Amino acid sequence: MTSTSPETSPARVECVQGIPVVVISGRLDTHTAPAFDVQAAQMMAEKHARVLLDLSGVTFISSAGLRSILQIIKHTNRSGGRTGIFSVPEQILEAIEISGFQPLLDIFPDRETALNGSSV
Amino acid sequence: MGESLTIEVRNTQDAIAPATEEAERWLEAHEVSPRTIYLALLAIEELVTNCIHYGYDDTAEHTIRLEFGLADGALTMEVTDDGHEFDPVNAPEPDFSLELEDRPVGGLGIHMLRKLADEMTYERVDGKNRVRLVKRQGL
Repeated sequence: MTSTSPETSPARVECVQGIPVVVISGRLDTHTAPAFDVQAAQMMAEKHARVLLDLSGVTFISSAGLRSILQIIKHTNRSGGRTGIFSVPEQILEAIEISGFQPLLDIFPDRETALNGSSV
Repeated sequence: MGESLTIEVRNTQDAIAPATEEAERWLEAHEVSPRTIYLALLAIEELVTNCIHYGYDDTAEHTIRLEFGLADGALTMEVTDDGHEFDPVNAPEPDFSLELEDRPVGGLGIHMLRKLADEMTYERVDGKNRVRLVKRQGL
């Protein structure tokens, strides 16, 4: 079974209180990361000191997916800010922790806390 | 009494998803825990991707063999390929002390497997790399 059609977009970007909130769904892996990177690049065309990632719908993340997130982390770093993540499923949080990404991110339990903990 | 599954994967990026789907179906049918399934699917992606990118100098088709075994409350997974010699067990750890901009992207996938698996071993046998991962099911 080979797919020749573009992968369904794994993410949508909302703008909440002036902050990009990237809602990621499904797998973020070697197969879906390229399409995600294209979407993320569009979001990163402008500078942002704060980007939030809604990971509630993420079912799987590999090193390829973490590299995609690292690009967003670098993006906010360049503006003197931080990337935050919220509603992270347990297995995804474990992957983030063992990869050494935890110190690079602000981790919130839910969207409201994440938005309250972020300033434009 | 044990159960086993063997999947042969071509060394192309689009061969990963079907292999992952087949493995996931088999693991779920055998009531393997979600944490163990996660490790198995991650191992397929990380080891096969590594092999595709670094394993070969030619453009020929190669086969990577995935063998899963369930016995005594543990999942054993063996990944065998005939690419360049590569020992992921002794591959250097990513340097987590590096400044963010300098942080290398290589090695992260292997590092994740090392941390998630209960055991990870490597041997070079008959010109092939064989990586063995073991994950014990919590009972």
